Amino acid sequence: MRKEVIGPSQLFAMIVLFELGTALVVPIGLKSGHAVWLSILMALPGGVLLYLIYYDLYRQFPELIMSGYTQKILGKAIGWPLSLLYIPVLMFNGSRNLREAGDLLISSTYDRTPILVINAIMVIAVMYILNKGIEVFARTAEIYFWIIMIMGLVCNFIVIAAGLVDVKHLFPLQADDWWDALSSAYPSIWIFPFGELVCMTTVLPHFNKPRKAKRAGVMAVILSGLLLTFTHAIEISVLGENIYSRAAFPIYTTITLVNVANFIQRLDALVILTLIIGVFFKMSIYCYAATVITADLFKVQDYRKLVVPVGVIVLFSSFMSAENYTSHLNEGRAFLKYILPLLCAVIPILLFLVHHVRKRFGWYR
Amino acid sequence: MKVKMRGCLIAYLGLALSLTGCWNSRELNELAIVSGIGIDQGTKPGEYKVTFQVVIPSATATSQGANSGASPITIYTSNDHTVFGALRKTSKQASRQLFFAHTQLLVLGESIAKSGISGVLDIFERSHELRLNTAVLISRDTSAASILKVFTPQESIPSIGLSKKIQNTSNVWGENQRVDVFELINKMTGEGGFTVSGLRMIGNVEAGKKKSNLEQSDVETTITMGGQAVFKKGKLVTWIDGPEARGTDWILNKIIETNVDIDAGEQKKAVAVNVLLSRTGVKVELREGIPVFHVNVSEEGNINETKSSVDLSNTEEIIKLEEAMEKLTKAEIEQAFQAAQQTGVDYLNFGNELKRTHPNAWRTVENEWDQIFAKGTLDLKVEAYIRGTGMRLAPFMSPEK
Amino acid sequence: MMATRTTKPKKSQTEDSNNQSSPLTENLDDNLQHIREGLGNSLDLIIRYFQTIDDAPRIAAVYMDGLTDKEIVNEFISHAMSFQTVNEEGQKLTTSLDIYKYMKEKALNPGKGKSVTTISELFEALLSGNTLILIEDMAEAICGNTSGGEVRPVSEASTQVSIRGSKESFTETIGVNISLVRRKIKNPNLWVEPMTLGAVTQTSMAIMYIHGIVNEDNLQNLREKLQEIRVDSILESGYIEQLIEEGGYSPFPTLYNTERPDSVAGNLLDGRIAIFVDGTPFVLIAPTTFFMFFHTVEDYYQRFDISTLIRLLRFLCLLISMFGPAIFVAALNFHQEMIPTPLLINLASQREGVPFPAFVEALMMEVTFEIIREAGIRLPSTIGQTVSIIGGLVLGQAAVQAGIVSPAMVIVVSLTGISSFTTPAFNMALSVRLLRFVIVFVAAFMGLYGIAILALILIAHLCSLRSLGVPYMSPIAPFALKAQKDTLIRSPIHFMKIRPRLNNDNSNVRKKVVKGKRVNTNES
Repeated sequence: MRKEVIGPSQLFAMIVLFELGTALVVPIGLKSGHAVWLSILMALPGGVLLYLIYYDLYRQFPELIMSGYTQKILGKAIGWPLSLLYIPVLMFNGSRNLREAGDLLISSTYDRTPILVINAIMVIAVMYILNKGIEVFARTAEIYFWIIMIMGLVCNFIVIAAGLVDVKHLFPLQADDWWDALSSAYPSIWIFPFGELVCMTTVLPHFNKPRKAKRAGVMAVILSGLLLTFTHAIEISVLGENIYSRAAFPIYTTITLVNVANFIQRLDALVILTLIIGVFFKMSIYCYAATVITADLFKVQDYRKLVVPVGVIVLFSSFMSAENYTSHLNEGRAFLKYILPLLCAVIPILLFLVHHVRKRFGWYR
Repeated sequence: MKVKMRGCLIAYLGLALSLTGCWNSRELNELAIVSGIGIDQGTKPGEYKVTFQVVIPSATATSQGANSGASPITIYTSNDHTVFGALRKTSKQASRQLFFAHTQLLVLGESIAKSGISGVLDIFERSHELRLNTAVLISRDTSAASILKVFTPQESIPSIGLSKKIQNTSNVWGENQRVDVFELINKMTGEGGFTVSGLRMIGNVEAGKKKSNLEQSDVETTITMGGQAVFKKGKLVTWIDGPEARGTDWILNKIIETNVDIDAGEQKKAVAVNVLLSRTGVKVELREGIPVFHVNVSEEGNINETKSSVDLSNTEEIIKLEEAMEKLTKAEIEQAFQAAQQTGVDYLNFGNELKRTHPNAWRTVENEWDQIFAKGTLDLKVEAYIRGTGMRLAPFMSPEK
Repeated sequence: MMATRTTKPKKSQTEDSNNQSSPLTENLDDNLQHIREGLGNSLDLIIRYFQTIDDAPRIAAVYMDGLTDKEIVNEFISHAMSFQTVNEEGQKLTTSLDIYKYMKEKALNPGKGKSVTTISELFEALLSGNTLILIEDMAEAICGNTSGGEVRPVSEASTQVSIRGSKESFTETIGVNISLVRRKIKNPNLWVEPMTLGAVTQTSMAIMYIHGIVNEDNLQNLREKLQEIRVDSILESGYIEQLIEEGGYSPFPTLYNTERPDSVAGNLLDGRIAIFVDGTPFVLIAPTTFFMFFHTVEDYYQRFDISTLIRLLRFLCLLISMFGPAIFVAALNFHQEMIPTPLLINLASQREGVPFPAFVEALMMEVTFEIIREAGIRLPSTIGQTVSIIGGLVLGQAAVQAGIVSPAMVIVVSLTGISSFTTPAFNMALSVRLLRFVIVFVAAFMGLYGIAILALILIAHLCSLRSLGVPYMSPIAPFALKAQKDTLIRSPIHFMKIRPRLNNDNSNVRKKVVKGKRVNTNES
């Protein structure tokens, strides 16, 4: 079979879509209040740094995915179980994204539709595209990158044109605000959404121009960081801190306020579309990462065979993991605090250090 | 293998699709489109009397071949402890399910306003159907239910008419301002009090709720804007009218366009200036525990009418008029400020401003802000500019006899 | 109609092929008998006998009536028979061999006569419009090209009409078609490779490309695919299209067809390959991308700003014709809040009396529209008028007044119908129309969410398609910045210095044809 390859612009599009995914829609970094935009900016350098670590590891082992080089660096005895740890976490995180999309859809329009059906339809699409392979996925991402950009532009333009933005809500920044911003930037925003890029380590081996991976990736992380900053700043400046912090989906509330000339109103559909697209790509990458790591660890030749089982597990865990949205959010908080940092930051940094130490002292056989 | 897989996928897809049924699918002719909601105090304590104004599409003027005899709206009323409960109870009267996404107007009765409105707004935030940008008005000296029953000329659906009315007057007169649910919630969660525009009924409901009310050039019953209701902690405390109301909007930077009649020398109120642009900047500071409110207003306008003999081609005369305009605006704003201090409610947004810019100073006065506000001083600066005089310079004069 | 892929003719085929590949005998009567039997004593087989002098060998001329031009046949025969009975040395030409040699080398212009030795060769030559001369005691026949007969003249394009640009279109004759293109590209690098396909029909075909511009990998790929084809009949280029398509079950066509020589020429200059099939005016172009279906040659003839706007309009129409009714149904049934209030009240009052759900209403109208469209195409143009008048009544006022549909639905359906006709390629418009039904269906079940998910799957599917190895959605995905000058928009001609990248193109720069150079770069 022909090796599937993806190009720089496709990698760029995938990273941006992955980053924007759910982070655009759910409130992030709540502790920082109206300075959330500052927190995102503060977390951005950390995100870039983290990507560079993933990138370095990829350059060291250009043919291997995460689980492959974990075993090389730490040895099979430690590396294999450690990689195994990633599979449930990735699937769980994918299912959480799915849950968020399902919940927004249910609370916005589909209040009488079971979440099983809503999520199942999304999972079918994910399974379909993963069956087509990562190359097709990357090309689709490229098209949707433009669609998302255009929709984002339209939404932002309309919100601004409707005269809803009140910059007063963003300023002034007091000394406390800077401190709050920093404390919610690290580790919370640093890990979500930037740390989640750890999934990309499974995609990178398909990259056709290894040298360009650095540029494309870093640019994508910076662009998505700036877009997130801008969007959340707009949301706060429209809603004010109080409503922003109480809203389940602030971007949705923001767009419902739009009323231009009594005709352009209720653009909720655009936001829901953005969310569907974002979650679709984010979840697909999670599922892909989980699938290929499983395939790699259990020596399955064709990862496509695993797409359906992984999809079904993600689907069921999406609505069985939490009884309601409140407990879902609380689970997420704990997950973000204790588990994700380990997998997204600690282990990659550890791998990076161990690898360079072993290389330096020639401890590789 | 691959074909099998694809077959499975297709079967799965088909199954999932057929399972969906049409849970959320609703035909338009199964919906009763609610155009306005009115909330009054119920008969029992703690109960709401909720009134729904529902559109009858086939009788509206917009539709082709509208049946002129039928009423374009109908009214349903229910009592319950919650708004949602009341709207569900309405199903006993309505043949179709109430649909709220196009609600244009929320009228809060004076009764409920006096006993507190904080409870009724949550459903507007929480529901995905109700819009946050629905206009909110307070009925003055009458119930919300009767306001919703009255037909309005020109607009076949009264709620739309009323929401256009408030939009229109806040755009060109400035005594009232359009407040929607979203703003109202923001104000309620902020510090101090706030104001919401009121509605008044002229005439009686019995005449107004008949369509025949519209079959005359001067309608018997009509609804007009009636000042602004001042709220403190979510409860209506008093009403402000006229210059006080407009001065309040001036401080709140809500004036979009208005008219001021200024004195031309000896002649009182002889020149009409159309204010086309007005900006207000507010700064609050604490000087030894006493707040000082710096309010800077800059307004621009055109002279649209004069009955004086002032020579408008003369620059000096214009400067004089500008001074008069400043004086008049100043007087109006000061009047509004004093009225606010007398009620002891900071509905002028000064508290929020202080909190935003000086959070530490705010903490010291937070608890007794209303009293401290009443002691505060106003530092008002107004700059007025007259940009144009219309199609003529000097006014015409009839020859002196 | 004609048995194309049944097994029965195949059997007789194999029997026939046994004696067909057999060589000719020396017995003239046997040979002629063979021919008669082989063609089943067909009416249009004509055999004429000649004998110069009494003892000279008998000669027979064989040709097919209708496939040949009578004048050319007569000329050919008279030339062949113009030998004297005596050669230069005064010897009498009595033996068959002498006559054969004389006929082939002297009497006929050199090269005009070919020799045929087997029955199968003979049939192929005969059915291609050649005239064969058989001589007593000779196991070889002389054949000369006399093809002609009635063909349709070059006429105006009927399916791809243009305001500006050449008016000619291809005919059913492959030779004419090739010459029409050659007249546009007067360059020796325009190469034409002949081939024959169809075990029964023996259809002649040709692939045409510009050597040095065309991508050799694509060309080789196409040759292999064509050679792999095993089929009884090729009656139209549509057969070829379906046989070499990649991906199998896709609603989207992955080969472009055109009846305009200028369109073929333009695509050849872009490095594409044209496939000509005898008997049809429709020429296939490969490789094809999705966006080609929305381009017309006229785009390049009009000024760039106008062409750009028209192109964008076409893409807008594509979206309307695909998603129009679906979004309407979704908005009406699921997302009533999206509709502005006055419009909603209007729509509600229109729908008051309509007894059907919006989905059924939309479906009914769409099906009616398709019925009228199909009837309009199949009927003679005189009756077609009647159909469109009746159709207009059914779809329009009458249906509304009868209270069966709402006026807004009529507007939506007719708008989508008209939009679908703006797609220049008819086969793409058909695919879109088919998909429209699926999308309406999904919209009725899940509203906008269903549409969004289906659109995702659809775009993923489009991205997975390839035509001759070229990604179908290129140059959008994979994205190529330079190619954007001629995809959604049409930039001024002097900006378009780069040819579209079809796989790894060896000659991207326009206005310069690299001659006879074979490069196989392996990038991308």
